[in-house]
Amino acid sequence: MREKIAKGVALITGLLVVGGAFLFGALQSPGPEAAVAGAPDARPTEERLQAPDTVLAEGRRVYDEQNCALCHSIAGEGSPRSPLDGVGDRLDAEELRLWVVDPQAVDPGVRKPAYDDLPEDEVEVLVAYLQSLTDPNS
Amino acid sequence: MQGMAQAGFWIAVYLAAVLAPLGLLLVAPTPRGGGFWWDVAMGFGFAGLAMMAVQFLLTARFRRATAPFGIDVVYYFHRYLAYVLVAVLVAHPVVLILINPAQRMYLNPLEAPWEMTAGSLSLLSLLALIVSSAWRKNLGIPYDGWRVVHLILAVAAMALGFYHMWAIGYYSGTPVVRVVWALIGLSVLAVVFRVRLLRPWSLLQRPFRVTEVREERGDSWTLAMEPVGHGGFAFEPGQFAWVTLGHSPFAMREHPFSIASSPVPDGRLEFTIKELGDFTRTVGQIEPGEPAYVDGPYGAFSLDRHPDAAGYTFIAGGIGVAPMASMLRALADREDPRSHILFAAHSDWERIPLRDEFQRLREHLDLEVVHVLEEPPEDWSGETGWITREVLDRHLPENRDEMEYFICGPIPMIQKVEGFLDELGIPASRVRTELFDLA
Repeated sequence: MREKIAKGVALITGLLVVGGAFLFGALQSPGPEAAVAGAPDARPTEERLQAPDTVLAEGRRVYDEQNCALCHSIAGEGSPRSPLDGVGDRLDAEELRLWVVDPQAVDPGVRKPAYDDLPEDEVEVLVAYLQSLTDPNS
Repeated sequence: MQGMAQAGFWIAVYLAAVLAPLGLLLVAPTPRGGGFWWDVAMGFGFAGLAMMAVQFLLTARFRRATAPFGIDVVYYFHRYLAYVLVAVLVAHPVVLILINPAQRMYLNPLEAPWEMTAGSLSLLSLLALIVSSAWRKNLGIPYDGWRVVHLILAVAAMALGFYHMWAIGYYSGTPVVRVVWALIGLSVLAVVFRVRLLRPWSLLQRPFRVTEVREERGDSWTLAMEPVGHGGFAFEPGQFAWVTLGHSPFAMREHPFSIASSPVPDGRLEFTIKELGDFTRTVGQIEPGEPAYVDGPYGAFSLDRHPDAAGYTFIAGGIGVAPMASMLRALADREDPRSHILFAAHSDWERIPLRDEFQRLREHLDLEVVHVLEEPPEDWSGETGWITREVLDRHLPENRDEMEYFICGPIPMIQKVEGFLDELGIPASRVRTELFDLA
């Protein structure tokens, strides 16, 4: 009897914890409407490109290879924790570069790995790709 | 009713401790979410780590918090909760990898940052902890060695998990969350300090000495001991204690045994122990004069908590007679006038521990002793087989639902007997159990 009650309380604990985790997930997520309305169209259009297609494609390849989407999102794809939509409007090339190779130089308290062992040419194409992420409304 | 209120209070405290870190995330300002499933996975991580911290509190033998339940069932709860928390903590990385398979890279220690590897190692320690505990006997791990491994793996799992959470510092990076987790971490450290250093030290200050080692029937031994330089401790008949023999109390070589003697003013104790495991097989070799350290009393299995019963029914399997002996001896010492029954299930007549003592107690008490033998001698006219509903029905008196019932034995036996008593119309509120397989 007592061990059955103990089993029951353990099970209830598990259910409460899972319920709490789902509640947290639901409250933290902005919801589908917000995601659609809030995500600016960051698809690079030809007019807004400041670098040739091949460079941007290479930059995107580096973005994918380095799993940047674990922490960042572009047009709602990836982790919504740090969206990169419009980042090309907010930061210039040198700032973007520093965020990639030495983020603590920009913000000493930031929790972001430094990609300082990335080959120079890969950093360059990545920065070019990030620069292309501009807000179409700006 | 007061006991129920206390039990409710401590369950509420426990649930608050488990759910507080998750609740804090719900109400405190947090950084931007990482998507529904990502956040659910984070919730699993924080809640699992909180449950891990609570596991340390559950086995810290806090008397007041465990008193309403009996510490034996708190140890069972510790075991069940471990399965729940492992499921929750395994779900933490599994969900993250399912929503983004690239996160598998965090499982590779060559690629992953330290804090991610710490998380993986924490989970591995936890899985090793579960396997070595749930299958300890199958794996042939000795009890004493297992306890040391259990402590090391538990501290490793907690410390690595804590570092993983703290160093990532995303949801755990806000000041309020940092403060709460710092307090949780310090509480776990304080509990380990109390359990592994302070308590052994205080046991060292209050030693006992073995005065007699008596052979009993059925591969059992009675160890008598007396306090040295202090008055011992007060206990309620039926309670148990953790006993260390032949080692320092710091050595983590203690074993839980029911006290078989009745409370006496000079603090002397007797334990009747059956040869069942590595340690208990050596009990017969103990010499009088050896020091002993006794951490007790613990448990809620005592007639002193139910003094108003019309009489007491004791139902024991095997060495489960030990706490019954304590209670019956106490009743005899108090010249209790009520009628009592002892049902004792054993394999054969010659192997019933304390058989002669129960016979002696019948001269001082209105006590009926019902031996139920699996392998009865040819001329046996008493009960045979197992303790069944019919056996109970034959011997329980008319006012059976006014009696208080105490059951101690192997878990399957306890469960069966609880079922029989229920069928006989005995209210569950009158039935007490002691689960003595704590390892």
